[in-house]
Amino acid sequence: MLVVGLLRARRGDPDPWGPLDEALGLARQAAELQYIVVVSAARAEAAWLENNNALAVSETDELVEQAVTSGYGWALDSMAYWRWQVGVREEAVEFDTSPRRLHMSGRALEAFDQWERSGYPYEAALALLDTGDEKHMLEALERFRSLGARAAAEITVRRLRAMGARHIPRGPNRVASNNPAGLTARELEVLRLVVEGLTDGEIAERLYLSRRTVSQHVSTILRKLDAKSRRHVKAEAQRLGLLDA
Amino acid sequence: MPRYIVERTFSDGWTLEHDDDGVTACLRLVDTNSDLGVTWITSFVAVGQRKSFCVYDAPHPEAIRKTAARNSLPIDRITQVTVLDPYFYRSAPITT
Repeated sequence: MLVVGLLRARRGDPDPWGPLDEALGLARQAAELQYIVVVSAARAEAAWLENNNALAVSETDELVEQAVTSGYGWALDSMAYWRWQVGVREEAVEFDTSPRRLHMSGRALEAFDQWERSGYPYEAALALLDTGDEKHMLEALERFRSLGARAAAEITVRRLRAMGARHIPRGPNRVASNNPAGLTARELEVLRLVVEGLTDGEIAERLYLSRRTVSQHVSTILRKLDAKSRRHVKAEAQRLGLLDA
Repeated sequence: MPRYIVERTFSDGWTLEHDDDGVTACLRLVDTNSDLGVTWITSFVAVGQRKSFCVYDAPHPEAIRKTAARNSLPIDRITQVTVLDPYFYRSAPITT
């Protein structure tokens, strides 16, 4: 339920709160603080994604104190992070330098590094968003779109506009309508270069992206084509007729 | 069952012929939808814009996303809607 609710919130799909309410009900029934904290962090994120900052705070208020004394590591981090994101500045309880803590102390780029290396593309993009740097934010936008995270993408666009950025790419990453694997136009571009034998770095140069964004696209392509590696990608793509156009 | 409007953009366009092939293609879409309880009610196609607004009844948004993926159809946005019809204005109060 938690996953369904959070997915809906991130995609901008209807009714994230039905499943999130159910998840909270179940967590409260179990009366386990660790579950409640995890669910509350997710609800705080869902609130932030729909620009309801007050809700993000109220969802986590009573839990912050409880969690501090019980010390629920990363889940407390997530809760604290969403409160920080909506502007709450409170006493930081020192845990180890998790990516969230780096992020909250103004070292968003280092946070991005850690998330990337641990394989959390959504959180990595969130870190890029908070660097305040236009180039990084444009990359975050591309990543959110390729992940289908519409809500975060819209927040990124709003912030870019507020910064006065020009040339913000429009629209979601559109799926090329005549291809069976549901690849976006950008993913098809990357696929063709992968099949030509280019490395991620070379593709990044060709398309004016960062290597990490290219790696993100490549993982998504492998997943959509159900291919085990770059070598298998060519066979799969040929089988589906993706290389003909 | 909730009703949804699905907005889609066809970056390369999308053509449905008015012939037997077109009929077969449509029926295939309908069959795939029915696997997950998704019913395609009707669609409005924006003239010259490669964009459509499609009305569905479905158990939840995930069913729409899954069947759309199986049918190779893009999704920009899914919105849950209630139906407002001028000829039934007396039946019940409407709140948005």
